[in-house]
Amino acid sequence: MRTLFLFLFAIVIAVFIIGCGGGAKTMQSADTGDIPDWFSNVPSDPNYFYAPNTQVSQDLQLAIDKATQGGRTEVGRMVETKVNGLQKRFTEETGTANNAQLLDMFTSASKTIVSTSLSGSRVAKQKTVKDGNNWRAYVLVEYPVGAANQALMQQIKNNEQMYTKFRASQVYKELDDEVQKYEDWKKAQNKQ
Amino acid sequence: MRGRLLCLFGLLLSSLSSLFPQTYPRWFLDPGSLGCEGPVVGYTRSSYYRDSSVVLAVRNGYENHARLMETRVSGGQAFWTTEGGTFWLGADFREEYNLLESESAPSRLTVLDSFIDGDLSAALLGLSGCQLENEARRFMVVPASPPAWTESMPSDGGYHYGVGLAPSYFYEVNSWLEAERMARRNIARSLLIEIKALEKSTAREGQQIRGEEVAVTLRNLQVVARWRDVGKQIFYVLVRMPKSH
Repeated sequence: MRTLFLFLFAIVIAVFIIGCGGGAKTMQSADTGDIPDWFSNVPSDPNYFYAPNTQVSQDLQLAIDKATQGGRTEVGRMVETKVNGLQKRFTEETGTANNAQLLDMFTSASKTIVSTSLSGSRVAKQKTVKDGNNWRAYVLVEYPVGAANQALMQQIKNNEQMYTKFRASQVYKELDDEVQKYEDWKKAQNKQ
Repeated sequence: MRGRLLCLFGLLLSSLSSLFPQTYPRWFLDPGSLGCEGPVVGYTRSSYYRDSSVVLAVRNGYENHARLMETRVSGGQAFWTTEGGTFWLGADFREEYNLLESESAPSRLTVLDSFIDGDLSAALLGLSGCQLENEARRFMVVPASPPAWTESMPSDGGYHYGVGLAPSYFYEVNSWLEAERMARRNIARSLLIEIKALEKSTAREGQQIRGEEVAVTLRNLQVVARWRDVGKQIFYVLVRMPKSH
């Protein structure tokens, strides 16, 4: 009887130790309550490109930098998509689909915008939370569409020969209108 | 059981910290609301002698004043992203400011107030003739809930804003200084940044190398607000720069 009691007691102790052992230690905290709303439901505004990103790092600043740069790269990709769309519409309108010079102009334009400069991109929202032993940064990068249009227009103007051809098109008029609106908006902002 | 003991210990610590809440003068947490033009805060580690602490904080204030007047932020960093995560390849950022500006600052700036709290000493400097109200000298508890600007960047037609964060270091002064530096860097990034990305993908895997470069001169910066997340031990600083510059 005594042996049985000791045996049962040992089993209870063993279960207690295993149950309290570091099961949770290996799990990372993944509290979905920490995920900001703007990350799951990205804002939609025709005047801005929005790119959410999240990254982890043991270093707080590095987590933010990784996420911000990822967001900015995504914005660059969005701008490239816009340029490609514009190119398609222009070639459809003017019937110059096989014009190598035109293709070159748009290719260099999109590359320049993506890889050269983002002026006016900013981290509109950010949140940092602890994720296990790491920091997790959530960021939302914002870039005004007008700034992208302006950069594209500048690229087109740099190529005189194609600019002359492009100016007569409807696509140019629309782009020019958008750039003008952006200029007016910037002036209004500076006056405030 | 171990978890419960740790939990109990954590609760004990947090209740102790709530008994001694973190306080700072209002001019430290909310410098943007001061009526003075161009206020600047200098920080330092507290020395054995109080006088030395204040002198060193004032000296740092002159340097910070020069940084706020004009700082050139340049450099870049790169990351390599694979399916295993994003890896840091390296960074090289520099900040250059006019040392002559900090040397001539004593003729224009006066010490308005100072405080010493534990290992942090700070001094508030302002342009000569600047009067500091008593309300601004009053110590206030760091708000428990985060200010809106820590998550949402203020949108103001007249200014570019930047928020800088820093973790808690052994010496508190290092956390505040780093948060300010990061805020300046973030403003520079928002003004003009070069992003370069090279992506390669096959049917089995994808990877990307991306880099950023920045070379921007910032002028007439202002520290608008500071906040410390006592729970997570993160230090926040909000800096702005007029768009006209």
